[in-house]
Amino acid sequence: MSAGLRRVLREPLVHFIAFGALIYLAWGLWGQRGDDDAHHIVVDRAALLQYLQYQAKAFEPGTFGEQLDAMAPAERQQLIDNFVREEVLYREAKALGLERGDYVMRLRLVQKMGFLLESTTDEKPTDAELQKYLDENAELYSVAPSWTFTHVFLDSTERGDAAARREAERILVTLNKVHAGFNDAPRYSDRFAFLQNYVERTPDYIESQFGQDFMQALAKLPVGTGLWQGPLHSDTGWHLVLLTAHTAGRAPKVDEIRDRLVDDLKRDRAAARQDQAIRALIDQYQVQFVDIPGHPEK
Amino acid sequence: MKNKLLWVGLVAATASLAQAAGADDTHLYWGDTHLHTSYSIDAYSTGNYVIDPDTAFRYARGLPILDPVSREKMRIERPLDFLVVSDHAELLQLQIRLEEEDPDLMATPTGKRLAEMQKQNRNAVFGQVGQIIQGQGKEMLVDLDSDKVRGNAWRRQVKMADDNNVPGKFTAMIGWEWSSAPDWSNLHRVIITPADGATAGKFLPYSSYISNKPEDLWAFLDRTTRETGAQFVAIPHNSNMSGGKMFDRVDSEGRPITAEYARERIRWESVMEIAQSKGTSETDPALSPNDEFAGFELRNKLLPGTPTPAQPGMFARSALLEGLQFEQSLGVNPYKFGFVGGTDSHTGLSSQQEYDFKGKLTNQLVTANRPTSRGAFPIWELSAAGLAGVWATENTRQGIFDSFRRKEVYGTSGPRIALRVFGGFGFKEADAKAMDIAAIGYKGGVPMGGDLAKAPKGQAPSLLIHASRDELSGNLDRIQVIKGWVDAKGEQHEKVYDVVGSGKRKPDANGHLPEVGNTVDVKTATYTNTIGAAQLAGVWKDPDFDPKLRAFYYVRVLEIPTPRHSLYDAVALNIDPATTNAPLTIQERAWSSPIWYTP
Repeated sequence: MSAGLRRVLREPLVHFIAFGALIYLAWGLWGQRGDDDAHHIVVDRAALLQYLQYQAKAFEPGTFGEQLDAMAPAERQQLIDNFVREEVLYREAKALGLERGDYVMRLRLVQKMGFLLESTTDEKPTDAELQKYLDENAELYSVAPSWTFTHVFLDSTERGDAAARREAERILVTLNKVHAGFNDAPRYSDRFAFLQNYVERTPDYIESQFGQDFMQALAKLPVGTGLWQGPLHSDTGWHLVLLTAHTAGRAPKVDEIRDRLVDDLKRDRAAARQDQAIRALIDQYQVQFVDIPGHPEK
Repeated sequence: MKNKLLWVGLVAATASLAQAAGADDTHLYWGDTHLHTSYSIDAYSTGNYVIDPDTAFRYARGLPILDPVSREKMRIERPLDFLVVSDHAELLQLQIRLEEEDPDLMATPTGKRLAEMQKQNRNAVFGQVGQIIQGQGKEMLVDLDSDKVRGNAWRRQVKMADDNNVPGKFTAMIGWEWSSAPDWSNLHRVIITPADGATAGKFLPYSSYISNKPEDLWAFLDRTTRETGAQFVAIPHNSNMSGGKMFDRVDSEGRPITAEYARERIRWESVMEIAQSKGTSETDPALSPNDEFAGFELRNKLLPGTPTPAQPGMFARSALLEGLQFEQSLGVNPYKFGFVGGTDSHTGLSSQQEYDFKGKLTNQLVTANRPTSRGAFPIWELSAAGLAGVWATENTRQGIFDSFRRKEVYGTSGPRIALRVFGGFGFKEADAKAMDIAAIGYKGGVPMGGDLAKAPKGQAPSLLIHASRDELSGNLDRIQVIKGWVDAKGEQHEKVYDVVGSGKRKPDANGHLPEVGNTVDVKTATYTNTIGAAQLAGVWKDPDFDPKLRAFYYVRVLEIPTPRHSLYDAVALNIDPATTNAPLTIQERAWSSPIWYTP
């Protein structure tokens, strides 16, 4: 044998091809050919529908059924040809065991199985179901508490912190003496970086503009007394506050958030159905543990 | 935290900062005029398979959507007031339609071939068609780019905008991107229209396959306006990536600009994008050596990533100067534009916060993968930017659009810095202290984007300026005015003035304030607002005014240093921040549209 030929015979690729050829030959000699199940392909509506859905990576039998029915004869023939071609190549590859040890293939199959089990439906949840779902997930949909107030701001940056506080205390007396109203604040206030009036604002919003200390102090004030209160300290100065309304956090009514609830409920149900289907499959298997701590081997 | 996010959606989005200056006619609205979805061919090829325009609008409006990677619920921290989905007109929706086996595409050999290819590899189709922009493979367009295919795609696009447009609450503006890039020089424009779907359905979005010359785009806009009544503004972006061709002295044929060219250009291009994820286009230290803040988030490269030297045609400031000169010689200023910021994000998720940057491309969404982000747009080289602030009378398509027309808009590098600027001749020092700056400003002058002319004898223009910080970002460092003018000999000049800064800092002999300091802890990616100011205001009077010379003035507001997005990533990944090869901190900023003085 020449050195060149020896080198060629050592190439893994050559081994692979030679091995493949051997298997193929063996299959040709001993494998069954003819009208058996392995060589029988059924093209029916169900097969085409499934094929179509795999192609689209979406699984809505209704829509794709319509699409299938609307196909022109040539288009349908093309679909059938593609299906048959794919099916034949798939079976041949499988017969040769090409899928074994192919992790990409494995993941792909798992993913496809997931899609299959993910079926969505056109169900319309009833009001009672929505209410129950809302109750069960109250935290997710809670409407935040809110405060409505106006404020007179004394700017520590401009006046110095102690002077701003003194001025605030002085103005507080005036405000309550003249019964200054909700819209009078600008006449007494320094210019604040953000707003003068805060109407139905949530704590995270107020906190982002005034700071945490202010928000905590505001939450402790009595509401609707008609009196100016404070001064409260913020990140930038002192504030006199006329607090007119406070709404506690609450659970919204179904009607306020109906669309969101329906979407979320349907998505949850689809996930639950998928989970259930997968668990049913798992139940059909016996899982044997080998050398896994906490799992007896039997 | 989850609860907190849900609350945010139940309160009004923004617009509230507008009232900072008191009750007035215009309110401040925040938005992004530059966002791509899975319907852009390059967005799909970089992993955006699921965030379509409808989902992009829903996210911007504050509705929960599914995270494209984890499929968990996600929600924008603060909703936007308006959004333009500006998908590339070139082969709009191609891969999505191949996925759907669109009959009009599948009836063609190219469509069938690409659909087959896509089944093997979802990202492969772009490799086939991406080169068409450069003129290769143009024969494929016969199959892929028929008017029927384009019409179907465009109708779906505008319907999704119509479905999400809620007048008074959220503006879903119709638009597209014209993606011209001769020799990889970026000449891209985003085109926006206040028209509804019915009107927009009467035309097809002009693509660079038809022509890559801006003159032809303007001719299309002119023709289409006459035929359909739709109005348009074209917004150039990434002039920093144009190799100097964006704001050139010559037209597309290399001939000197004429008055007619200048008139057409400024008729359509009233606003340019000064900051976005692929870098800023304000100026460069090489062109503005006396501007100590000029070297900001620069990215002077052609589209494939080839570095280019800084040239005047790449930057807004030099273009504004050139514009004054053209006005002198031609009688028309082709570069009399205002500024906005946009994201140019291809994820369908408008994202510009340093602390929560979702990347430009979908394959950059997962932080764990970022150390290996390569190619033309490595994540840490990109900017978490930008945003458009719009002073408008109402949040409707027409209301927002009109502000773009009159340039009462401005850009930021991401944060929601509220900025009022008025120019006039009578503003007094005390006006800066007023509770209602807008009332004084509108009465005594013109807002940003406006014109001043013929100064009263002995008087110089003054600017009345007020800025408030973003409540979720850093305090403000300083307000600056940038003036540009052309002298009697025809020479260009620019000067940066510090108007007012936080604290008790004193300006040096040149009038410059010392640095504000830095509170950023690079180990934890945190900072404190113990330096800087929550708001700054001032009246600035031009100390070097010559009533015979043309000039422009624009305002720049700087934040204190805060952590850059790459530093947040480094801390999250627990790696040495130096390995990101990016600055650790960033001084975010806002740029007002200019006010012009004409003798």
